[in-house]
Amino acid sequence: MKSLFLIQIFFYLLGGACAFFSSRNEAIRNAATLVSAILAGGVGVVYSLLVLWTGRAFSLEFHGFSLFGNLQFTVDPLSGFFIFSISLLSVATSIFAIGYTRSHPGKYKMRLSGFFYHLFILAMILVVSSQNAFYFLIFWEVMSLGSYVLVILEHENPQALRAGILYLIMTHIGTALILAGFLLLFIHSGSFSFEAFRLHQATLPPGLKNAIFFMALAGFGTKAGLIPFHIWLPEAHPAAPSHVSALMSGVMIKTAIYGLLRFFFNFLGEIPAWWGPVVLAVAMISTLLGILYALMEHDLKRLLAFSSIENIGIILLGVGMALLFASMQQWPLAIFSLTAALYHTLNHAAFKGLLFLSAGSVLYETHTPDMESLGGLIKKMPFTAFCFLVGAVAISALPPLNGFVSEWMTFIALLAGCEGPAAIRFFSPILASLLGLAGALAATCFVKAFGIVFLGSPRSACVEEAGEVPLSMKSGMAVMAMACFALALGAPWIVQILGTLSASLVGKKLETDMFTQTLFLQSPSGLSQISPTLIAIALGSLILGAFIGTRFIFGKAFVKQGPSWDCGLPSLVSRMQYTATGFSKPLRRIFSFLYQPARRVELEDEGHEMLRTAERFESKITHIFDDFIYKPISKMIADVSEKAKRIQTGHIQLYLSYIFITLILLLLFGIRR
Amino acid sequence: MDAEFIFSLIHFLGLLLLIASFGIIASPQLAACIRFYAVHAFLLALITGLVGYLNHIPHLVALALLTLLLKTVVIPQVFFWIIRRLGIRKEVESYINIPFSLILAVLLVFLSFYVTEKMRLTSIASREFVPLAVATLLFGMLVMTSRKKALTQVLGLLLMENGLFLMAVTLTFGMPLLVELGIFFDVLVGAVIMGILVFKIRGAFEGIDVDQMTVLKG
Repeated sequence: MKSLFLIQIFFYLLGGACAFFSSRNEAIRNAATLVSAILAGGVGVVYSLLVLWTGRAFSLEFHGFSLFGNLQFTVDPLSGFFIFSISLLSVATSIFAIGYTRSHPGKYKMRLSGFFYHLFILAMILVVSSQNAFYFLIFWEVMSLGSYVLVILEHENPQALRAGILYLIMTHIGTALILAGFLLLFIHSGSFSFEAFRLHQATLPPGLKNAIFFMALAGFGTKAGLIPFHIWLPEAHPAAPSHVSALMSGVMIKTAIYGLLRFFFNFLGEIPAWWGPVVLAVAMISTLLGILYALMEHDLKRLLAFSSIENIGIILLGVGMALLFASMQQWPLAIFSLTAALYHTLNHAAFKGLLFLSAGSVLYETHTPDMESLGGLIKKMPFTAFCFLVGAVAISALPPLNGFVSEWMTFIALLAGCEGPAAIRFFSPILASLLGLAGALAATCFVKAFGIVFLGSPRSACVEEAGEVPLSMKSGMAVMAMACFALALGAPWIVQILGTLSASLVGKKLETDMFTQTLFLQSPSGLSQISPTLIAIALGSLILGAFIGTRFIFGKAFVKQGPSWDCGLPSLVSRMQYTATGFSKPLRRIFSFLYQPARRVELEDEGHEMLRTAERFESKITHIFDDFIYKPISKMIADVSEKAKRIQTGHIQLYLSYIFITLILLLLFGIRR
Repeated sequence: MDAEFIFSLIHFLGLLLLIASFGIIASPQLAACIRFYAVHAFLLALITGLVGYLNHIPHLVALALLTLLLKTVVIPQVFFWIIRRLGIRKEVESYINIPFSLILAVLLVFLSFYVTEKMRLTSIASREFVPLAVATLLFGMLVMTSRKKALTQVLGLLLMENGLFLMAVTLTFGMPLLVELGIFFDVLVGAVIMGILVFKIRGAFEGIDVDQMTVLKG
């Protein structure tokens, strides 16, 4: 397995090198680059599955420059799990990219994007396998900077540059906090290696422990897009090419989950009772606000980005419950919650990857991400529409797809809190019902996304020229769609594997068949049981049966085509359809306290309202975190900088005298001691 | 010559070195400044040579010769050449007038003796020369901050370098020869580059008054 790990790294390096050095022929270079990414991903899937299946870790150590400890990689089941998600999704995105990047070689600057694409994926793999804080941070930075380059690939577009700068600032704030957390651990344990952190975790003083907890939560939370650190996410993810957006949303933000799990369960020892509630509160806010903002978006990729915030929230709900149960020593429940979180991590990678790839296909054909000018695409691109539908059903947590399974488990975990102490008993049903609300809102959101983009009739000319995407893009989407099905059908086995992994993470042993009964999943109390596999089979046969049955009973004649009823108007035009704005209007009114919607109507007429010459309508919502937290902060920083400019006169002599005076003061200070 | 005599000679040369430093600050003419710098470097070379002779360290003697060649001959000539080529005004232009600079310089000498007093230096040579070296360094800084022309700033930088050199020689009998050679090379290249930069600055601003560079700020 060691050799497979090295082969994977080698393929990524090879792919990166291909992007730079190989032939002048765009097509060959492109293919060589992406094929090596596909191979690397395939290798990664194989060995990570082996690690997950056997539960045996392997490690590699490189000696040499050892000022910060040796460069050591260990792929234990937790790392293997994340490597599996990364590799799987990167296979699909790389297949997709073959077609996606071919039509606009100039636009996506193949050399640059090819190189940084590989660097980015490689860095993610190394982040989750590195066993030394120093190298972890280096790979973390490479990952951030690699994705930064991919975000600003269209640097002619000022919007993309702005998004890139915001991303760069936020990700570095996050990294600074993580660095601080690691340094505190270093001070305590005297080494940068994870092994040392693990050994010394029991003796961490509580104050230090809490400080590290908050730094990790905020630092990794920034990367994960946790509200209120999320502002970069809806800007940066849509700006990147779609296959990169899929990777960023699907797996990059999950590396933060990896970091959080390592910190919480490996480095910090005994878990205080109040950590769980803190994580739960933050996670719940992210879940609700993420989906509420997603609902108001009309840009397909931004909508998906906001929905990623929601899903990170759901994952952290599981993690929060696990912390809570672990602090109460209720190990089976803790393991179950953790399993739910990990399962949702994998599921989100699958369906969000699928959705971003489908959105990329739409973008590829229509060249606009604006939902208000799309419509009727199901007739032009049926395959893409089907894939998007699969992703939408999965993300809305509807059976028979994978989103349903992990969200069911999260519900069970939340409701299991009713058996805890009084405060938790009070809050856990509330949290569960809020999660229910979020699920319903997500369904609304994706009904809107699917309905407006794929159903109805075209809203603008961009749709007219659209057609189905090339085979490579279809296959990329198909891989992820099949993954969505497989993750639902294989639920009992997956829960078994992830359960074992979670149990080892909290340092306990899982009894076999605790969460699974042949084809059924069951809650730790054994009260509720469900079988996603059987549900899927039943639903599938129902649909198939209905389809075949109608064919048999009524024959083809049952389908009659006629004109739509047009209320007696001369003809139906696309402007009569529901718009995305119109669809979400009821929710905009219900949640107006949050959105604080502002609308502006401008009318121009020639003296009388009947002689109207122009109308303008503008409607927008307030993003409270942007407007009430980040804008004041950035304004304050700008003001302070403006004031600080006064000491920057531009005279060299003045700068020199600053140094001179500092030197003299330091000399005087030095001798006083 | 016996050690006692050489020692008092070094002592005397140190005094002269300080006077030469004052000379750089006190002279209103650019040419005089450069000559004082040459004298300063010459005295530095002598001190280095004598320290090397006294302690039987051959590479210090080599350094002394190098200093003599580079800092008393080559660099001053480069400066004179730049002045001729640019045809700049010969007067030193300063933000603070010369009497006041001198008062400041005296204060700096006090300061340097004051701060080095508590360093508990053991050998007599270092007790004498470390304050002198610090003073030379501060003088260089003073020249750099108070003068307007880019050329005088380069001079200030070179003066600082002399101070560092003096410190190294008297405190630790010089750094390894290779390092010293590197530093010499740096100084020479630095002087040449700054000479070129001065040309460029004049090309861009029609003068080498650094004041005009304020338009560059954001």
